[in-house]
Formats: sequence, structure tokens, C-alpha cells
Amino acid sequence: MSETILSPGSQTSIKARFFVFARNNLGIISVLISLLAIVLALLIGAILIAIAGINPWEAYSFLLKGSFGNRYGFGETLTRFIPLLFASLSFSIAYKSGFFNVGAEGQIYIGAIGALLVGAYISNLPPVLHITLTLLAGFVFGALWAGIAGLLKIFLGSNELVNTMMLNYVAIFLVEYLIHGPLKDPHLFIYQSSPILSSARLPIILPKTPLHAGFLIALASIVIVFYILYRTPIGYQMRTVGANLRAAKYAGINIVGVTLVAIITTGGLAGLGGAVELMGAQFRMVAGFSPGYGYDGIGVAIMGRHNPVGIVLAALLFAIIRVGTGAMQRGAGVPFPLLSVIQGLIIIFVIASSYLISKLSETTIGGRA
Amino acid sequence: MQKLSILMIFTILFGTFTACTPAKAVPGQTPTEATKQIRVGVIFSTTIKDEGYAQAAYNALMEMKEKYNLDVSFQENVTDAAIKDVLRSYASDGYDLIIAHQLYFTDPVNEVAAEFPDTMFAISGGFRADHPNVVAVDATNWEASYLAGTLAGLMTKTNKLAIITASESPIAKRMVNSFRSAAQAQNPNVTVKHVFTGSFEDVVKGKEMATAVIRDGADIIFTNCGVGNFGAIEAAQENGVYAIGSSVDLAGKAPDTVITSAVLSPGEYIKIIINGYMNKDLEWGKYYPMGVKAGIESLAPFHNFEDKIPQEVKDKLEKVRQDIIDGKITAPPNE
Repeated sequence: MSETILSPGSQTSIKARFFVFARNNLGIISVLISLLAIVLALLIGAILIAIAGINPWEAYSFLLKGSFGNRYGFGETLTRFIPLLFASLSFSIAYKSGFFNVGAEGQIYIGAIGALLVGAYISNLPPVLHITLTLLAGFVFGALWAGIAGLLKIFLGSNELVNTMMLNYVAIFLVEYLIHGPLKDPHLFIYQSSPILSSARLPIILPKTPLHAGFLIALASIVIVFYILYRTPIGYQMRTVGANLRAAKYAGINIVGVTLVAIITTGGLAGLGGAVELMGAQFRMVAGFSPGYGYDGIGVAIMGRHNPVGIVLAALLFAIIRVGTGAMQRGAGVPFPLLSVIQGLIIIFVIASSYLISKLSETTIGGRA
Repeated sequence: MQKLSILMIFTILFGTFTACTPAKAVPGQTPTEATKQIRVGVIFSTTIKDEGYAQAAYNALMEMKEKYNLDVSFQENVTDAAIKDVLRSYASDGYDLIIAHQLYFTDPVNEVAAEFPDTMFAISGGFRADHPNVVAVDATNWEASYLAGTLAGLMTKTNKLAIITASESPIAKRMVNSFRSAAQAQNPNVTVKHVFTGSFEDVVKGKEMATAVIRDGADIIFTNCGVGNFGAIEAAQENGVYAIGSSVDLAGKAPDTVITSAVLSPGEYIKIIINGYMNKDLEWGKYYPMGVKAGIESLAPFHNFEDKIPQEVKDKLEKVRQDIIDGKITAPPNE
């Protein structure tokens, strides 16, 4: 269309017209870029699968069949979605407040331990009260664990990125110690904790699937988190601290107080994720309780660009990958190492494309040509 | 706009897939035979290329697939956290027999089996079968160690032996006790040192531990610590002492160091389970500990040591083996 209009200026006007075009069609362009990223990742994956001697279409059809094609797979995908959502919310709320919490993995473990202590060792409570207390314990333990890195930052100024990351290993090995020692189920000779009591278990909300009430808690959490961030004074203060620390100081915001709130919510959300996973899906603490939900949560939050809809969709994508790759293995016999490669490809390409999109929107809308 | 765009990506993506899949998937499934194939799903906790527990089972599975023309599927690297999901996926996909190939899967299998009473479950290496649709086939986990201990007790010159395990679990302790009492039954002056690496994956730790016990004077090391075995054997090779491998025949790694290996044949689990299922001679709802007699546990051939081991030692070893089969030697304590 633009070619039909003749214009006297040559170089500059083409450039300018391109920016006008890009600005007007930013949505479509970003769709195409993201789509291209996923397609490219899947194409490279398809080539690798074909090299392994498997029909790539058949393999990819199992990816979707396994995660959506039947009632059970659908329920499982939504169940895997829950801890990913909590982990990404945990990362996002901290990120928005200028606190880099990469310790969701550890906080998930510790939150689950908190939930285990209340869920397995306090008995004779009515279910509603027991579930509430158990969830609360998960939140508090997660918050306390994040608080270690938080207090180190507030009082000593030490880098929370390193501390939260290191505390992951401490948490994982601490849990391993606990299930080998004090919290080991005395009735078993293998190393697992006692199961939580039935009064502390979350009910299944979709029969014949593992989908439990934690899904509803997760959805409620995302609403609450973004309500707090964008509709309350404290949320405004958190975002200001995250966007510009000096401006926030100048505006008289209580930096320590705001950071504390961020630490409590970020740790608490991850801990809640651990508690919900324990109460709805696993019931016992085992070694490897969280297969990297905390780390995946960071990817989800970045891919979702810290935006509620984006996070939900990105978490769903990660859950589909997790569940679907299992089905690819069972159905089409795709070897496991190849699945990790494909998972990695999808994640790298989508995250790279989201940077490309933000660069594009910066230059066409925000920046000068 | 951003939200809308992400949403669109998904819809387009799914559209493409759903449009493409039926055309490809249907012809792939039609050539199966008219008679209904038995569908078997197997779950491994590691990769099938682990040269050990999973690989042996995988090979046996392929053998059974040929034998009975089974429709076989498997999933690798399944964690304790994911096992219940995988079990339920297989069961809701309509598999007839689901085998979980890992001791730690015992509990989840018993839990999930209650939800799918029409599906048969088996745990190879499992220790409990709570429901009428679950069977657990297990090794004794001490008989092969007893044979290794007998040989080590007869062959040691320094009267110092060592056993390296991955953990201090009751199973590991029973192996240690078995090894020790077998060695001391042949040679009362023997002392056995027990060390553990804390991991089934740590090659370096295996070597470190082996080097430490060699410095203490051990001249035969029984290594039973997963991948760490390779490190331990390397240490034995470098220091000129002997090693006894475990799980699989490790003589190929160091033919002049590894006297023999206490072989566990996890493939036998799979064969016992599938044969039992097909011939209906395995009783579901029961726990089966099996060892030397069933062929699950044994000592590997001596290879290069065939001529170096005196006939007298071999005779004593054979007698102990027979005693185990006859039930004259009973299980040592596990603590």
C-alpha cells in the first residue's frame, strides 16, 4: 500500500514510513515475531527428532495430545501450572520492587516443610481450619527463608541475587537432611517424610484428574498480587522503588519498609506454591520435591513480561512443555536428552523474541528514530 | 495489544497442530494387528543408557517385546516428584501392565493402583504390594554381597577389606553386614571398613573414598556406589589393589583390577513380571524377594582372574552359593 503513494524525500521518508507502519501494527508484528520464535524452535526440534529416526509430526502430536488431548492430560497440565504460577508471581512481585529473588526454588522447599509440619503433625482439626493453617505455614516459612537474604540486603547491603541463589542449595540439602533424619516416616525404610493428614489435603476439583483446589488459590493469588501492585498505595511504592530507587527516596518512600513487604510477599508466594504442591499433589516430602519450578518461574515471569495475562500464558506454555514432553517420550519414544534440548530451544527462542519485541516497541514508540 | 498478541500465538499454534496431527497420526496406528496387543508401560528413574539398572531392564523389555509381540512404551528420568503423574498418565491411556522400575516408586504405585483397579501394576525392586493389582519383585540385596565377601575373605593378603556404598540406607547396611560376615566366615582375622559416598552419581567421590581406604591398607575393595564405581575402580587400578564391582560386570573397565562383580540382573525383574503376567503364574498382590536362586543376583565371570584364583577358593565359593540357594545362610541384619 505504501508503495503506491509517491513522496519526494527518498531515504528519510521510507524510514519514517516504516516506523509509522511498525507503530500502527506493533501488535501484529509482535505476534509474528513470537510465533516465528516458537515455530523456529519447533522446526529445529523437528530436525533433531527426525535425525533420531522418529517422525516429528507424530512426536509433536503426542506433545499436544498428552497435555490437552484427553481429560487426564488436561488436568495434569493445569496441575503443573500451579507451582509454576506461584514461582513466577514470586519472581515478578520482587522484580517489580527492585529485589531480585532467584531463590524461589529454595523457598518452595522450605514452604513445603512448613506445610508438612502443620499438615502432618497437628491432628484433630476440622479440614477448613487445618488447610488454612497449613497454607499459612507454607507462606510464613517461605517468607522467613527469603527474609534471610532480605535482611542481609537491608542491613549489610549484600547482593540478594547471590544470597537467594545460594540459599536454594542450603534449602534443598536441608530438606534432604530432614527427610533422612527428624522428619523421616518411621513406618518406611526409604527416605520420605510422613504424609500430611487427610484433613490438610486440598480436594480434587476436576474428578479423574489430579487437578486440585490449589488451582483456585493460584488464580486468586494472581488477582491479589496484581491488585496490590497496581491498585494500592503500597503497590505504587513498591513499583517506584523498583523503577527508580533515588526517586523513591526523594519522594520520601520508606525504602526499608517497602523492601520488607516485597521480601515477605515474594518468599511467601513461593512458599505457598510449595505448600499447595504438597497439599494437593504430593502429600509427602521427597528428595527432588520441586523439579526446578523455582527456576522455571523466573523464565515464566520474563516470558510473560511481568504482566498477569502474559504470566498465565507463559506458565501454561511451560506446563504444556513439562507434561507434553513426557507424552512425547511415552508415545513416540523421543529420547529424554532430546526433550531437554527442545524445551531449552523453545524457552531461549521465546525469551529472545520478547527482548526483540521490547526493543522494537522502544525504537518505534519510545525512542527517537 | 501485548496480551492479545500472546493469546493469538497460542490459538494459531494449536490450530496448526490440530490441523496437522490427524492426517499423520491415523495411518501410523492403523497397521497394528487385528488381535489386541498387550500394552506395557515402563517407568525408569534414570536414562536407559545408564549401563546399569535401567539399561538392563530396557534390554529385557525389548526381549519380552519380541517374545510376546507387546506394545511397549517407556519414560525415562522420572523423578520421585513426577512419578504419580506418569503412572496416572499410563493408566488413563489404557495400558494393561505398568512397571515402575525403582524402589522409591513403591509408595506412589500403591497409592495410584487403588485409583485404577482394572490396571495391573508392578514394581521392580519394590518392597510392598498393598493391592490385588500390584506386585513387587525385589532382590534380596544381600546374597550377591555375601558371595563377594566370601571371595574377598579368601583372597585378601593384608586382611583388610573395604566396601563403598552410596548411602547408609538399611539396604546398604545389610549389604555391608553381609559382606563382612561372609568374609569373616572364611577368614576370622579380616576387618572390613565401610565408607559411603552420599550419591549414586559422584565419580570423584568414589575415587576419593577408594583412595582413602587403600591408604588404610585395604587390598580388595567392594564398590557399590552407582557411577562412583568407576572412580573407585580407577583408584584401585592406580594403586595396584583389587576391586570387586557391582550391579553389572565391570571387568571391561579394568580387566586386571576387577576380580569379579556382584551382579544384579534387574532385567530379570522385568522378565519375571512380564512372563508372570503373560503366563498368569505370578500372584498379584504379593511381594517377592528373589536372589541367587532366581538368577537376579550372581557373581560375574572371573575373566582375567580365571587362572589366578585357586581351585580351592572356587570350590568354597560354589559351596557358599549352594548354601544360599538351599537357605542355609540367612539374611544378615540391616542396621
